[in-house]
Amino acid sequence: MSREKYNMSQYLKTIFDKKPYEIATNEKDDLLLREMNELHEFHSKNCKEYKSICRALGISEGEFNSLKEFPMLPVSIFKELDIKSIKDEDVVRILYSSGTTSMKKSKIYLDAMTSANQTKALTTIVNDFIGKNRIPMIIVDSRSTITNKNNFSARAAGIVGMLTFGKDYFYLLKDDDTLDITGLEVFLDKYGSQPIIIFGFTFMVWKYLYQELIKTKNSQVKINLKDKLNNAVLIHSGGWKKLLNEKVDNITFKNILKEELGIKKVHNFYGMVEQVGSVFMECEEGYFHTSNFSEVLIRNHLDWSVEENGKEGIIEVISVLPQSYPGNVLLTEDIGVIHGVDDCKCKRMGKYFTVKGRVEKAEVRGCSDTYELKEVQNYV
Amino acid sequence: MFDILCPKNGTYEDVLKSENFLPYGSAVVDFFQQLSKNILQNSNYKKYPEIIALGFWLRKANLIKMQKDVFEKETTKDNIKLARGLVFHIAPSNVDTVFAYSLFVSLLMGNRNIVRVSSQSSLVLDLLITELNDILSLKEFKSLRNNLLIVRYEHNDDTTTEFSLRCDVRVIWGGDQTVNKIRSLPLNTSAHEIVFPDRFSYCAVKSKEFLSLNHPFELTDKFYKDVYTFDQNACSSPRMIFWIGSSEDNQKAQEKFWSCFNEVVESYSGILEQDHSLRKLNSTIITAVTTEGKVKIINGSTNRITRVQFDSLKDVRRDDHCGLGLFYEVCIKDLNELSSFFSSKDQTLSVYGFSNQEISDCLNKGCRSISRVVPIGKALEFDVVWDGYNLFDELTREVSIVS
Repeated sequence: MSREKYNMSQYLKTIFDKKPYEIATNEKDDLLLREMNELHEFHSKNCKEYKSICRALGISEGEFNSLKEFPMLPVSIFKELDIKSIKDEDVVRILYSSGTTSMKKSKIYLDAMTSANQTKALTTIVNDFIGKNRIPMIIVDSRSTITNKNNFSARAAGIVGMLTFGKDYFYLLKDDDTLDITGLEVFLDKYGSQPIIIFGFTFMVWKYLYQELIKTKNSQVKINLKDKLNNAVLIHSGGWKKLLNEKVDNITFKNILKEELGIKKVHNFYGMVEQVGSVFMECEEGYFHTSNFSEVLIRNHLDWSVEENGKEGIIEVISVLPQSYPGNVLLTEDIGVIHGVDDCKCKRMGKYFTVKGRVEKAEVRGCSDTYELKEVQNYV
Repeated sequence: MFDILCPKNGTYEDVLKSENFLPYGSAVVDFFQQLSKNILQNSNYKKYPEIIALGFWLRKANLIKMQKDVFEKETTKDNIKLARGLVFHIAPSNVDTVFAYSLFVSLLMGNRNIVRVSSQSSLVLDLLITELNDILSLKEFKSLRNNLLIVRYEHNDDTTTEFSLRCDVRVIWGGDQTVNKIRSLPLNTSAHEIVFPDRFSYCAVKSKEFLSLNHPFELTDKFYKDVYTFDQNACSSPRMIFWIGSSEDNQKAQEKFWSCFNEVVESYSGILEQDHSLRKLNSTIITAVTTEGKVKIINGSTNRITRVQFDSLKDVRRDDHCGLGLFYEVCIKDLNELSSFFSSKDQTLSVYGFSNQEISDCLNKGCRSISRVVPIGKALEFDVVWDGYNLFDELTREVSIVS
């Protein structure tokens, strides 16, 4: 099979040239459709697995007329199969999803261009929320999470990806996963009155930045956290499963961080290792937003038809970033609902939506005694 | 260590100490009669076809038929068959009635029994246990009380080992994982073991015969029961259909069949789980990749029916199949092409339109592992010859008397 490198199209250039939330849907649909058709052709030529899937689905050559026609790949297939659209020697990085050792992990192959585009897109998106300047950063994790070369987890990749937005990094946890209270005091004494960025995984933020810190606050922390964190922006991601078990939803989460720690700006983002870069950031109104790089469709599981806005269904995510692997159109295992298009009060264009949770594993009758639990997909 | 569900006030010591019966002993036959009557006369059971089927299986006429056709078939006058002793059954979790068939066949052969039922409770299981307890509390069935013990415990190697070291036969239902797990635990040296690992089952339709059917819905109704009763995950539920005939007939038969079947499925089925739709999508996409695209994925009017049509028999991969209403298909000219296709993983072939002669001609050409051929609609019917085992033989020992 002849392999060729993907050339950046004029459409992708336009997508990168604009601000991430400034293209209204009419124009964006057209741009994305053209770019997605280019990518479809590229993967069909260069990825034999993608070609097989298209053949099995009876997709004939030629272009698609709308985004909903592109074949959806279930995110879980990146756990089962090794799929890429580039030569082995062009692989610069492999991303793995997190998960325990017994679980199969997603394996995503990146070449230089896909990797660079991911970083560029992420930067554009996050800058829209925190500004262009690098600011002092607190990471709600330990340094060893990213220095452990033997186990470079999805969590580590997520942290490293966010480091570009900060400077003068402070890791809230020591290597034994206890709070570095002294370090925090020194950091906040120095930077506390200016804008700072805090990043961590949702459950880490809840457990350490809130629960553990509050526990030790009265006895050990001498400074006034509320004053010092007044200008902080918290960005977090990673899913709500653990928190929902404790009956903590997004609204509760934000209220508590505001009341207890004085953190007023909190942005969750929805993203996954299979589509790094084109993340969906939560705006000030509490909705995830599509950007220039991405689109979201809600699918009805009964026949995979597209649901109208306002109706719940399974989330399909579309990203123009993957070139080294055919991960542009993925059906997630999450349930969500689109609330509107181009008219969010936050003034950002694009669709805005919420994620309701994960598709529940259903019981299967049959002769097997043990129902093998399919692993839960983890976000970066 | 374990909870005793049946009989009331039953004890482990009792079942260890009690005596075997003779095969087809009158106490057991009478007990089955009573149980059959209770099931078939109780209108509450009407909504549970699997319980009704059990009631029919227990009727005296059926017991006698099995005695003549299977039990006495190969026994010479001089040899006698006796119970093996204590049988330890490990039942599967979700085909609720299997524990009962396993237990009843063994009881009928005179054995004493310990049955481990799934730690997950189910309605059908609870109903059957209540029924058993009620009958066993009657005075006339007192003699049976010490010959069975139905227990429940979370998977626990110590308990399973204890039973395994005391039993004379260990029967493991429940697929590859369970078989591998239990097999790693020691078994009484003189004991015999019967295992039921994962199986794959099929359906073969002679296209021409199907096309001439005036009432195709009768057949598609039966097929529905074979497939959807246990989410296509019973080991004998067909997962793949062979269309046999000229390519023209095959194509027409497929069209007619799927149009009828779609109607049947849409009118009978309840909620479609999101998880099931996702698993089927995942399974079909993986098949597309593993076969290098030598399949055609076709969805019904909804995701309740998902079809994967293979270009040829050699492309079929059983491992990717997830059940839940997923139908592999392949069109071939002649039934005999199947004789080199089957593997040791295969079990039931449901058929339509073939004579017994045609079937046995095909099997005699070297079919490696089909162990059961039934008409469409009977795939789930329990048979005392199962998976290639004659359970009457497996659960008795034959004493040879040489003169």
